[in-house]
Amino acid sequence: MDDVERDLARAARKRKQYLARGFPDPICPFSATDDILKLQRHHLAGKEYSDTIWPVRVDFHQELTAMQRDHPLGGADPRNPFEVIGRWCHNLADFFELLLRTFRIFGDFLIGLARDGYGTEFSLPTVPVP
Amino acid sequence: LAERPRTDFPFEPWEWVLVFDTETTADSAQRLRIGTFQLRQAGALRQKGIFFDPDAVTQSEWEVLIREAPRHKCVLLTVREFIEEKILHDVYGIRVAGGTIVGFNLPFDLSRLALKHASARAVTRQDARGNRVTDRSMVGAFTFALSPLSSRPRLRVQHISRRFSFMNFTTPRKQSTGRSRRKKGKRVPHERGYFLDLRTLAAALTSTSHTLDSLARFLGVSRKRKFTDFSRPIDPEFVDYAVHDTEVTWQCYVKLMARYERHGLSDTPAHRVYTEASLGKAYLQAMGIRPWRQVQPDFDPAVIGAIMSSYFGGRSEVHRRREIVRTIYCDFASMYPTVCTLMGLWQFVIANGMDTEDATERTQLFLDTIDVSTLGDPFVWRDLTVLVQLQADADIFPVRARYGQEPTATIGVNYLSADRPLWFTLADCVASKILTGKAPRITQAIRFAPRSRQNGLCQIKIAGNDAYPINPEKDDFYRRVIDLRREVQDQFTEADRTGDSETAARLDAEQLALKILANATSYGIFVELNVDDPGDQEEVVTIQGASGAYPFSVNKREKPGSFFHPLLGTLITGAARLMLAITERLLTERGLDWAFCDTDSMAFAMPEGMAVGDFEQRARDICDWFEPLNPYSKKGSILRLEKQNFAEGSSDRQKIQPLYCFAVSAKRYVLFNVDANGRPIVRKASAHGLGHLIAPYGDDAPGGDDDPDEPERDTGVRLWQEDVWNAIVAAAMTDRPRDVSFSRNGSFAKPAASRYAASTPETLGWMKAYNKDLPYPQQVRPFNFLLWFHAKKPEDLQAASDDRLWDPRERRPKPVGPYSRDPSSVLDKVVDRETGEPVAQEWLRSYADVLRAYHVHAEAKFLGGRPGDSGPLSRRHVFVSAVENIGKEADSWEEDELLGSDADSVVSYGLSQADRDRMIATIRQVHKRKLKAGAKVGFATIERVLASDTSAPDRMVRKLFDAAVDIQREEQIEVQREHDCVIWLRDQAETIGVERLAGTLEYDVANLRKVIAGVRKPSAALLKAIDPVRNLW
Repeated sequence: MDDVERDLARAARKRKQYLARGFPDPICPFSATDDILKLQRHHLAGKEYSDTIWPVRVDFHQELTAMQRDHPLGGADPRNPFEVIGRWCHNLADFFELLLRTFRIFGDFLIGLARDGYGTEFSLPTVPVP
Repeated sequence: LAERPRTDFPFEPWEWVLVFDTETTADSAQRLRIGTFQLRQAGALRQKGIFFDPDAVTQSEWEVLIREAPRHKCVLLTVREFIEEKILHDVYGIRVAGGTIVGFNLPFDLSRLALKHASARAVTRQDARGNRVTDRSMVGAFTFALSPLSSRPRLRVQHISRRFSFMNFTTPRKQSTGRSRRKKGKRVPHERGYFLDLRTLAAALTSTSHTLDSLARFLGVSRKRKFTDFSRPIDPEFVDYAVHDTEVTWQCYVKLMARYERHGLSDTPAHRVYTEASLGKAYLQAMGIRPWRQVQPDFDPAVIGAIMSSYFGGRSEVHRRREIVRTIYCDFASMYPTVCTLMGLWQFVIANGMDTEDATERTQLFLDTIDVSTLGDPFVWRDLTVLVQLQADADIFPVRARYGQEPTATIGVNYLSADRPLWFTLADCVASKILTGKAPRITQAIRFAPRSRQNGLCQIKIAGNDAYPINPEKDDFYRRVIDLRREVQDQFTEADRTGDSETAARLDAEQLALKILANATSYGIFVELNVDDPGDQEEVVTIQGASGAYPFSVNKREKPGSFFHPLLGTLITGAARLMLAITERLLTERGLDWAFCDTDSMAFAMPEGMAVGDFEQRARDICDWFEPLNPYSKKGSILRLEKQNFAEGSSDRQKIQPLYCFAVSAKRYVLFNVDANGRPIVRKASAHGLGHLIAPYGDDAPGGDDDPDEPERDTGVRLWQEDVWNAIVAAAMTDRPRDVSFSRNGSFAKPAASRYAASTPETLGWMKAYNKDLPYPQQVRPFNFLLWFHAKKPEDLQAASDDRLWDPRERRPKPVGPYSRDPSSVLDKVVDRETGEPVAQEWLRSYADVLRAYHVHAEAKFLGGRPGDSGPLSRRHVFVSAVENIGKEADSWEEDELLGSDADSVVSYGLSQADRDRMIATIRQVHKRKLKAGAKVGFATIERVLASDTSAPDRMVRKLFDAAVDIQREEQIEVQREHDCVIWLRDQAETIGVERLAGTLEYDVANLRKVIAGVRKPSAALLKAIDPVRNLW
């Protein structure tokens, strides 16, 4: 297999993963990773309660799944609308918890950059006074 | 929050591109010899290669390839290796890597790679709900086996038009979803491949058919090398040419993609742009506009039926037939966008549907009071969004009918009287009023009004330029696009004048994009109907016709396009016909005449005895009349004098050069100047009825590399077609206008041939007999060219030959032959496409034969349009005896007429039972023997129809009905003649006495007395005897 064939084969494998995931351009909201091989489909409200999914990096998927274990035990009827909405609320709380962590890390990172002298070449847009 | 996973998500192609081109033998088999390819990743060249068919190259040629491949830094592969490794390989083929296969005229190149072909079938599969659904979309396509391995997918190519085909891979036998996923009910979609035909994309982006060479010239990339001898052995020059060809293809791809990306239509990838209409739809989608059928799916089908029954295409007529007239040729600027703006149709496009209201009284009042001067007020045009039902009574309306002996129905704007109410647009009613002076009496009128505006509309930038924003909520889209185009055109003229070629090129591309956008969104997409190929089983559907609904059994049906909005389609063409009717009326008021009109143009004719200056002034007055109707920012009239009215290359728009017109029939005309020696100089001509023929000589004659789609000359036609018109005009200038002879030109003595691509299984079937004993590579295969020759009628052949006796029942053959650049070289291979029998050369008509009656072609839809007639034509009076509901007319009707495809280009929804019964009643009134002779059918057919057998096709009922009507008319004429004779005999007998009259007529006096007394009918002998005497007296 020469270089061209190898690159094509990798592209083909990657594409198959994309097709299997069902997203044309998946990206992890916590890590900004778009490497399909590192992404998994996370059921946002729990598999039993909704089939809505979001691609997240493997380690975040594991963490979100672990957080789901802290949720109340499943009720008798997974199609009960209140049950479903309640699950959505819990899962969204987990989701935002991770997002908050990402924001903090990114905030610290940007402030660190500024302290190291970066960013002076940019200017903030001026907001027109109404 | 998140997107639901979809297995049918339209994944887009990835960064890999395979560009390839093939070189074939020059014979009729057009067999692959070598090909070249480039494999690119994100634009970077990763691999170049040459592939060859080992069975088609000699040992020495193979050695040349081995030597030349390293020189061009190419890998050398056999064609099977190329297909297997570059396209189909399960691990690293371009298909599984989501890459795009690019080529110019891709269906031809792809078919060169095939091992065998077959016809595509309907596919039955389960949909998401588990229902079995039959997909017929690719029926009529070819499938190609590219690999001997049955696990590999086949390739499907469906020809749609000369400019585009749909291509994809079939489902491979191998599962693309693993077992564990399948168990969970999940499915990974198959890779169907991405194909981008540059010929298609170029045509959509430039509105012109291109060859690779002309495209390279147009885009300013390195030119294709001149190479004509494809039969020579493969040598270094041949290889150079082939490698360079692929490089040119790649460069054209890059330039075209850059052009396309400037449009900013990121939701529509380039491989899904098939026509200008695709671009138009993509722009509407980019503005967030949802199609009418999506926002109002529950619209009353009966009203849709009424709308569609009022739909007619553009008006194309000749008025001064076969005579040379001094003319001024005018055309309406951007006719369809203009009428869209005048009627405010953009509001319908962006609305959440439309409401209807009864407006019968108001519309009748409107019609009673309207006159031509009122139409000069642009606000009046806003009131034309009305559909009217009326019982025509000698009103002037467009009528689609089979006039005379024409095999296909054509549209003529004629006097119409009907025994039932029919639907028309209000614009057509107004046109009738201003032409006849009589307001049609209407029975019903429906006013349409747009509903509230759709939410979520967004601003776009045309061609990605910040200077050309369009806000769909605030702007009238059509007015804005045309305004922008005129601005850009002015800037282009300035840049061109100052020599800023880079800016000029950019501006030219932008004005072209605007022109395409205006045309693509202002008409065609609203009446897009795609006909499914016929299925095996018929099903009963409800037809909503002009006179209500009825059940009908169909085996093919029309599918509306995504932006189908029939009201807009019918209103637009109706308003365009009204513009022409206004022009006609203004001409009459000013004492002028007209020679012909065609959709948005009209040639004014100067009456005899009028001074030239007077004529020009009156013509300019008419153009000025339309100035208030100009909705655009740049002022001036929308009816403009065309460039043919002025000296060639002159920018002086005041000095009109004498322009003459010679028109034969609709769309067959020539405009010309006359030089100092009295010879015609063609300025604009029509190729209608000539375009299908291969050029017998000239720049684009056999041996050249030009495409028949592409007119090369300023006159709009090709050299030989220009010569045909020159000969016709030259004869018209003498006192023997019908004496046009083409036999003096030796090239016209050759058998006339038309070139067709075997693009459908049906067309390829013509060559079945020819292919029968040939090995596959030497056969005429899909997308090969083939020749269609024109056969003489048996009686013509008999008349031309004194030696042989011909059986009058002899069938006229349908000759076809394998393609050759010189059709004369394959005459020994010409066969009958139906029987497969060889066709003798004496059957074949020459160019001179085919063109013999071109200049006297009948214009049957008007009176005075018989083959020998010339002079002004007048309108027929059409009486409706039955209404046949049909689908939208296909664009290929002229071609179908020539090929004898039984007018199947139009989907017929038959006659209503009442009309059918009425026609059968008429047929019953005529003697069967006369019917047999008149309709040329057998007694069994007549009996079948008369027995009201429902299996008797409508076509047959129609044929017998036409014959019956003709026979009845002849009988009436005969009765009238006999009656006139008897009256004359009585008068003469009273004057000179019966005995003397009998003596003069040399007729038996006793018999004459009985005739005069009305006891006996006048015999044929008596009638014959009377005529000379009557004329003498």
